[in-house]
Amino acid sequence: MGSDLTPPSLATLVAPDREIELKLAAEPASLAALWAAPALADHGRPGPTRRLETCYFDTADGRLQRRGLSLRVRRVGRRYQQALKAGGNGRGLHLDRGEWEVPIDGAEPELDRLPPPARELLGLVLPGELKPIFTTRVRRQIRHLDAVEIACDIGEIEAGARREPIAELELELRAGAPAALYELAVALHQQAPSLRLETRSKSARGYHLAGLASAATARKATRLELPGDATVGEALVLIVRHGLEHVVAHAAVAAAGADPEGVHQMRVGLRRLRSALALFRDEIPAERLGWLKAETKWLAGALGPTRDWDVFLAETLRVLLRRRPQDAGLGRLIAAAETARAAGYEQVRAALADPRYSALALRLGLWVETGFDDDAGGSPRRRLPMRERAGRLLKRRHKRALAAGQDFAALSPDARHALRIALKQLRYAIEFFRSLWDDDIVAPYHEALAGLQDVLGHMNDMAVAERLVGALAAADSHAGGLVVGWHLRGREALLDHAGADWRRFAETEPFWR
Amino acid sequence: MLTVLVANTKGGCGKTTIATNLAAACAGGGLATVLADADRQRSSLAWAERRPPNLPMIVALDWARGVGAVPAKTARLIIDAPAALKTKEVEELLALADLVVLPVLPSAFDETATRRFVARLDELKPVRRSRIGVAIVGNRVRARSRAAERLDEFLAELGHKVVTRLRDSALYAETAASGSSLFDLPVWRSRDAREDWTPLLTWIEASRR
Repeated sequence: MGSDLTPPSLATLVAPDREIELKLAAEPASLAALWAAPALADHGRPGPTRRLETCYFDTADGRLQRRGLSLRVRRVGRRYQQALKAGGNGRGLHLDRGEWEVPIDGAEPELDRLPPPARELLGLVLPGELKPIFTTRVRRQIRHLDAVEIACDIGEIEAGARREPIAELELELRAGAPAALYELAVALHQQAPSLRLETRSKSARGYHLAGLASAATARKATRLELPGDATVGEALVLIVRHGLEHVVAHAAVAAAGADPEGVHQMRVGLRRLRSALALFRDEIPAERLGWLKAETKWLAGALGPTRDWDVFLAETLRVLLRRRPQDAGLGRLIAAAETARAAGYEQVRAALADPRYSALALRLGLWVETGFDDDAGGSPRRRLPMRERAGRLLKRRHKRALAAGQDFAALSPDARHALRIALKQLRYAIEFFRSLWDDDIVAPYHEALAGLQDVLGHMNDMAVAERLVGALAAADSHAGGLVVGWHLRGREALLDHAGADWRRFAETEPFWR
Repeated sequence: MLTVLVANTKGGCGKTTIATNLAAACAGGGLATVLADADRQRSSLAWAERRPPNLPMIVALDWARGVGAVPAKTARLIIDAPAALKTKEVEELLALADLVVLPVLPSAFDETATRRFVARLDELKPVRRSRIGVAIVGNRVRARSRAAERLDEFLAELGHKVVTRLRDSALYAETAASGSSLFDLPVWRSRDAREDWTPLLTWIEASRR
C-alpha cells in the first residue's frame, strides 16, 4: 500500500468540529506485537506516546447518553482537555460525529467553554449535576499518515469495581473521503487477521460496563430513501451500504446472546444484501460478486441454526408452556432446546470472531465508499436513472412470485417454501425502490404482500418446529407430540387464511406501471 | 429550539415569576433564551427591561397583540401566557409549545377553574397524544403541609401530579424588582430555593427528544 505523499489541501480537511473514525480491536498482546512489527513502519511516521486518563460524565438521569452525547475530561500529563461528542451512536461501520474539544483548567467539566451549538445540544445542566460515570486509562501511540492518523490504545475501562481491557486501533480521518480509512483498515487486517471491526465507541462500552446502557441507545433501523433521480450507481451504493450497516450494527447484540433480535436482524440484513447483489449483478465486477456471495452465505449459514432455536423457543414452546405450565415432558423439551440454542450462540460468537467476518465487513465497506469502481472504472450503465430499471426489476420478481404461487391451495411444502423465497426477493426489491414512487401508490401493494408473507411465515415456523422436535430425539416424545398436535390444529386455519391472502396479493395492481 | 408555555387558570399564581426565573435559568445555563410576553399586563417584558446588562442576556418579545417572530438560533423560548386564557388563545400557543408549565397556588387554589383548565388541556390533541408534556408546579407550597396534601389529592384525581413545589421565599420579590432571578444570585444565597427548581428543570431537559 503506497500512500500518496502530497499533503492534504485545506479544502479536503475534515472540519475541526467533526470526527470520522474507524476502529479495529484486538487482544492486547497481539495488538502490541502488531504495533511493534516492522510491517507497521510502512504506514506513516511515528508520533508521540502518551498516557491518557479520561473521565466520562453524565447527569443522574442519564440525559446525555439518552441523547447520544458523551462528555469527557481527559488528563494528559498536567493538562486537561474537555470534549463533547454527539451522534455517537454511529449507524455505520465508521463513526461520523460532531466533536467539540477544548483545553480546560481542571478535572471538572467547564460547560462555559463549549461553543453555542455544542451548548445547545447539551441543554441545561445545573451546577453539580454532572457526575463521573466511568474512566478509561490507556497508553496511546500514534502514527501519522497524510489522510489518516492511527492511534493504538491499550489499557482499560473502569466503572466502579468493574474493569474491562481496551486494545484498539483508531483510524481517524484527517482529510479527504472516508474510503481512505477503509483502504488502510483492509491493508492492516490483511497483515494482522486478528484485528476485528469494532463498532462500539469507548463511551458505549463504558456505559454498558457501568450498567447504564439504555434501550434508547440501541440502534434504530433507518429507512432507506433513494432520491427520486438516483442513478443506478448511486442506488447500488446506498442500498448496499444500508444493508451492510444493518448487519454490522447488530453484531454486538448477536454476540451477547441475550436478545434474539441480534441474530435475527443480522440475518435479515444478510438476506437483503444478497438480494441486492442479485439485483445489481451486472454492475458489480464478477470476481467481487462471487466472493461476496460466498462470504455472505457463510455468515448467514453460521447464524441460521441459532435463529431457528430462538424462534422455536420463543414462539412454539412458550405458547405451549402457557397452556400447560405443569407439563414435565414439555419442560424437558424446553431444556433440551435451550442447550441446543446455547451451542448455537457459541457458533455465532465464533463466526463473529472469525477474521472472515471482519474481512467481509471491511472490504465491502471499502467498495461501498469507492462506489464499487474497480480499475476499469464504472460501467456507463451506472449513470442511467434507477427508476426505469427498478420498474423492470420489480416486474421480473413479481412475475416469478405469481408463477411460484400458481395453484396455491395445492402447493407442496417444498413449493410453498420456494414461493416464500420468491416473495422475499420481491419484498426486498420493493423496500429498496419504494421511495422512487409516491408512498400512497406503493402502500396497497406492499400491504397485500406483507399480509401474505406473515401467514406463510407462521406456517414455516411450524414446519421448522417439527423438524427441531425431531432433532431433539432424546427428548420426551409426548412433549414432541404436543408440539405436532398443536400445529396440526393451527395449520388448517392458517391454510384457509393463506388462500385468501394469496388471492388478495395476486389481484393487487402492481404500482410501477 | 425548545418552547415552554407557562400558563395558569387565574391571575396571581406566580406565572410571571415562574416564566422569568425559568428564562434566567436557561440563559444562565448558556442557552440563547427568548422570553415572549403574551400577557397584556406585560410584567415579564417589564422585568426583562429592568435586567442589568451584566447578567446573562434574555431577549424579550411583546406578544400582547399576538404571536410574533422569534430570532434565529434561539435555543429556549419561554412564553408567559395571557392571564385569562381563552380557548382560541390556548390552542394557538399550544401549537407552538413543546411543554406546558402550570403553576398552582394552594392558598388561592380554585379547584373548579383548575379542573376545567386541565380538562381542556387534556382534551387538546397534542396533549392527548403525549406530544406535549404538562408540568404542574405547586407555587408557595410547603411540603407536608395540609395545603400540599390537598393539592396532591386533587391532582391525583385529575391524573396529574406535581412536578415540584416551590417554597415561598423573599428572594423572588427581591430579585424580580431588579430584573434578576434566583439563578443570578450566588449559589450560597439561593441554594435552598434553587433546589426546588431542580426537578422542574431536569423534567424539562429530560423531555427533549
